[in-house]
Amino acid sequence: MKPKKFRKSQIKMGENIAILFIFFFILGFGLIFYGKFTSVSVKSQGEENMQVKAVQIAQRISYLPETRCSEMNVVRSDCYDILKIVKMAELAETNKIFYYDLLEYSNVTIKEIYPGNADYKIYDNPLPDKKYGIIPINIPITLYNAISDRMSYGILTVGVYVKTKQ
Amino acid sequence: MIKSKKSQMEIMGLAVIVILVSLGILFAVQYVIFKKPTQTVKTYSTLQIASNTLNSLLTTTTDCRAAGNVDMTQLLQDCAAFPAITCDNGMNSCEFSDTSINYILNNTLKKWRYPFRLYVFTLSGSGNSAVKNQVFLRNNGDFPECISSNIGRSGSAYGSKDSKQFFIPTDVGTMYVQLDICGK
Repeated sequence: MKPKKFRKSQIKMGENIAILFIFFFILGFGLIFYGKFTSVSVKSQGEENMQVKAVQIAQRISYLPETRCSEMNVVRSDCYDILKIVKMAELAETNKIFYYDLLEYSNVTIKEIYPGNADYKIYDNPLPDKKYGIIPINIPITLYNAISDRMSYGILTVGVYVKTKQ
Repeated sequence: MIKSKKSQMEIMGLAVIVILVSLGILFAVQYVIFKKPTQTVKTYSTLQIASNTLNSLLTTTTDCRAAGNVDMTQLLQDCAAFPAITCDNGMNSCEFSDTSINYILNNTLKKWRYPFRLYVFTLSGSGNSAVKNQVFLRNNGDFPECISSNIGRSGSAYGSKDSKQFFIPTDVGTMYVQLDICGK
C-alpha cells in the first residue's frame, strides 16, 4: 500500500514541475519576442528622428539670411549670394557656438555646376566620437554673383552627421 | 460520455485562445518587423529637386556670349521661335541650350540616379487639334517604367512622382517647360 501512495504523489509533483516548466518556457519566449519587437521599434523611431532632424537642418540653411539673395529687401527664392556665402563661412568659423545651435552636427557645402565649377564650404561640425555616418540632402539652387550680375546653377549639399554602431 | 463532451469543449476553448494569440502575434510581426522604412529624407529631396531644378535652370546665365548675358530662358525662347541668337562659339540657341541643359542634368539628376523627363514644347493650333512642337526632350533611365508603375504602392520600386511646369511666352505662343521626376 505504502509504495503506491508514494508513486501517486510523485506523479503529481512531476505534473506540477512540467506545468511550471511550460509556463516559464512560454513566459521566456514571450519576453524574447517582446524585446525583439521593442528594439526594432526603437531603432526605426531613432532612424526616423534622424531623418527629420536632417530635413530640419536643410530647411534652416535654406532660410538663413546670411546666405540668401535679396534685391531691394525682396528675397529671391532658392537663390544664394556668393559674396554672402564666403563671408558666412568665416562667420561660422568664428561663431561656432551660435551656429551649432542652428546647424548642430552637420556639413554644409555648395557646388557650382554650371557655368563654373567652384566649391564653397559653409559649415562643418563633425561628431566628436569619430564613429559617424552622414545623411546627405542635395538641393538644386541658383548662385548669384553680384559683381558680374550673373546667375549660376549650383547644388546645396546638407550632410547631417549621425552616430553609427561601434 | 458527458465527461468526454466537457473535455472536448475545454479543448475547443483552448484552441480559440491559441488562434487569437497567433493572430495577435501575426499582426504585431506585420506592423513592427515588416514596417516600411521611413523615407522622410528621400521624399523631401525629391520634392526639393523637382521644384528647384527648373527654377534654377531657367534663371541660369549661360556661357553663350551674344549680345550681353543670355540666360537659359532666353535661349529656349529663341530656340522655340526662330533661332536668331548665335553664340560666340558658333552654336545657335537650340544647340547651345541643348548642350548646357544636358551638362547640368548629367551632373545632377542623372548622377543621383533619378528617373526623370524634361520636356520643353510649344503648342500650335487649339483644342483637340493642338500639336506639340518639341523644343527639348530628355528622358533618363527607367522613366517610362516609373510612370507606368504603381508609384508609392508596396512592391513598387519608386517612392513618389513629382511634376513641375513653367509657362514661358514666346513669339510662337506659350512654351511649356515640364519636369517629371520619380523618387527612388
